[in-house]
Amino acid sequence: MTDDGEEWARLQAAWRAQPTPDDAPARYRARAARERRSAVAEAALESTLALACAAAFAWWAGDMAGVERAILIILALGAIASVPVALVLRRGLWQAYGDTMAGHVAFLRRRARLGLWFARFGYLGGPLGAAVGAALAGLGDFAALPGQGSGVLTALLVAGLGAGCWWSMRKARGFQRSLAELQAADAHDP
Amino acid sequence: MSPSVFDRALEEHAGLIERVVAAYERNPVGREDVKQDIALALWRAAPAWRGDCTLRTFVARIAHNVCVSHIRRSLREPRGDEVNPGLASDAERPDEVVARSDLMRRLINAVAALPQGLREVATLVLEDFSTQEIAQALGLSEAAVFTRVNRAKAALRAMMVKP
Repeated sequence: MTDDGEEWARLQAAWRAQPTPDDAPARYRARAARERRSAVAEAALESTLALACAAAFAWWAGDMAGVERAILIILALGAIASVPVALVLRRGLWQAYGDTMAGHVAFLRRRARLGLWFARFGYLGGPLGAAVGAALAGLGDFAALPGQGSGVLTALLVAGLGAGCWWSMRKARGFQRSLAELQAADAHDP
Repeated sequence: MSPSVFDRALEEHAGLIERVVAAYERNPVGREDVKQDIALALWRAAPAWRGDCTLRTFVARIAHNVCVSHIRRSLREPRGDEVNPGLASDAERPDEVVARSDLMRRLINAVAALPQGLREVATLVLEDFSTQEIAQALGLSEAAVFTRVNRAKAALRAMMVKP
């Protein structure tokens, strides 16, 4: 490379001469359309499940009184509030792609840390929540809720808890790996 | 959702996306996946574009961000073979294709071999981005960009003179 400017211009020309398939924009657009449909369906499913839970809690609250009623009303309100929160978080996740690259990497690190925290909370808090729930189930009006003492329901709940714990441990390992990868890549940056 | 920004980004900068991806992913199948991911990220991020930087800078930033996420995920996986751009088009003679694609192939492989921080800068300089645009895209100061550009050029120069 004798003449730096001339040689660099030659490299730039070679770089930019890489061909672009004619159908690239159409393929990108088609994939985005599929994703849009999938995202709308996911959001609708999440919202429907949350609202169904809220309706169930509200329905049970109708048969309760005192502290039990207050707990169920709070759960119903929490389920309703989770809908806009989930939508805002989802949107925030999307927009992070538009941040600067340094900002994006910082976002990846924050997301991995937060994800690790939630995953640990899942497999540690899940059994704790189940124990508290089991203790509450025998108290006051909660003992009158339908399904109490059902072996099938208990087995389903235990299986669900086991699957949830396994899944959150798996996610925790993934987030730990992501954090290690981010650290390793940072170490190689100039 | 801002369809006009998304459509403009795809129509005007599809080539930029292709070239940025070539610098990060050597495997053709992996490249396709990354390009599709960039399209999704562009669609998702399009409402965030307020015109505070050029659309080209915005597209480059998103393309790099997705590539960075991609290489984080694929660090555990074995790397593919060297890039073979597969560049022949119907309009070119075989000897033209060979001459052009040899330099291109060596250049892409050299860029792909750079450390990530230099690779980001190198691809943007090769795309003829100004120092200010690179600083906007990377979230760095112009002085830091200047330093990285010089390092990237020196590293590329050293790799390109190797037989």
